[in-house]
Amino acid sequence: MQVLIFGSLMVTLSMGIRHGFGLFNLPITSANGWGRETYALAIALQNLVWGFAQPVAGALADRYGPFKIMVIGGFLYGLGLIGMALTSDPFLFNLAGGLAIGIGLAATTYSVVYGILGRNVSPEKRVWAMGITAAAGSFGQFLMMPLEQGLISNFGANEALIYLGLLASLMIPLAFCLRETGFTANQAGDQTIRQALSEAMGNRNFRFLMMGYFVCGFQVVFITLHLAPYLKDMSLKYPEINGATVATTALALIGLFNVIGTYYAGVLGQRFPKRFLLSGIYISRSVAITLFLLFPLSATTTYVFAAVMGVLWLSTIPLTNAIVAQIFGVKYLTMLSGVVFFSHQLGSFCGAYFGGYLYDLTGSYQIVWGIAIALGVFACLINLPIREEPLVRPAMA
Amino acid sequence: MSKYLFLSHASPSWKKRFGYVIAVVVLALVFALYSIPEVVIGLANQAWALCGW
Repeated sequence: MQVLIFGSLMVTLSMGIRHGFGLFNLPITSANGWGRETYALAIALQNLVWGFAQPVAGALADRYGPFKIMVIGGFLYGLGLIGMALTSDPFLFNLAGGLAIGIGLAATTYSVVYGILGRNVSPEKRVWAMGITAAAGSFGQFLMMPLEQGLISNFGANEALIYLGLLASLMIPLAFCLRETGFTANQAGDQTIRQALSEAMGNRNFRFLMMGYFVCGFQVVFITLHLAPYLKDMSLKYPEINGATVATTALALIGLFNVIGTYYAGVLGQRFPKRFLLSGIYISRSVAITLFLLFPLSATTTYVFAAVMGVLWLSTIPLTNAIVAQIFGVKYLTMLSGVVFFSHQLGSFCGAYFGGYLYDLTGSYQIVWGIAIALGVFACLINLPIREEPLVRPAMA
Repeated sequence: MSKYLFLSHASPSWKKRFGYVIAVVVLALVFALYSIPEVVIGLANQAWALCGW
């Protein structure tokens, strides 16, 4: 229970704080006299560093224990936020907001916490525990957005970042609460990190999971970044959806239903084959997007779409990671979760970049919506043949 | 199907029901935060900033 509570708090903080970074865009850039690209570059760098650092942080956590990695991550996360507040130099801002926070995220988010859960929660309750933690992360995202806006309004962006840095530093004592006293590094004869990685990459189930997770990243980031511009474009034809309230309410509904969806993904994952649940999530996303495009746009259809997508938003996280643990065991779960997450981040990058690129090319989001639907069908099919049975390994020499 | 709505196979106790009520209240309160005008404006600015408006 202790692992579950403190792991959830850790993810609530780490996922929550970063979710509101977009709110600092305008106040920071105008205060420093920068163009928006300076801030955007730091956030893009942060996501890139997070994706690349996640498998490395995972491997280090599996080798030296997640506690040490989380302490370093919490320190870097807090340092990065305070650095963002104190510097007006774009290069230092990129180091703080991009590099330090990117590494901090890799060391304090789902993959590292799931490694601890995997080792400390019984296999039959593992996916439920992962669902609780994912729901906590989703709740953090949902909660921190208005709180960060409140901090900015009351104290200004720089002071708000310092407060957030202090909040992030709470991850260090939380890491102490997640210390695994029985954690042991590799014994002679155990599988090595390199062997575990090549075993996973050579396993078709792992590759299928990676492909599915790529689609998850693509769809989620495309909708996060491009739903509001899409609504803005379409408001010429459907004036009802113009204005800040519709976009904000849609974001709030995604956040609200995301908490519910991730929690129930864990609950259902205990009772039904996880591959079927994942397939169901991906095909439901495709159906939801298709219906959203087919129906005449209105505030109501936007809200219904946001609620449905919210339920399906991060519900893939506990299921995907639980399958990894089920097939490959928990010894290198942190690293393998990190590798799968890297694929998610590649998808995120493609969703963000190609969403904008194809819009610029064609003047419309229709092609990208079509790609998102097709990818959902593909991810549904690719998850179906996954075998969830534990891998049988020959005895190590 | 109703049993899937709760934490375990056991039928929900008053504690679980209470927990769910608390969760719903907290989620509703956070959702209400999004209707504060300054939050709406901040989020809208963020969304528009992403596409250069």
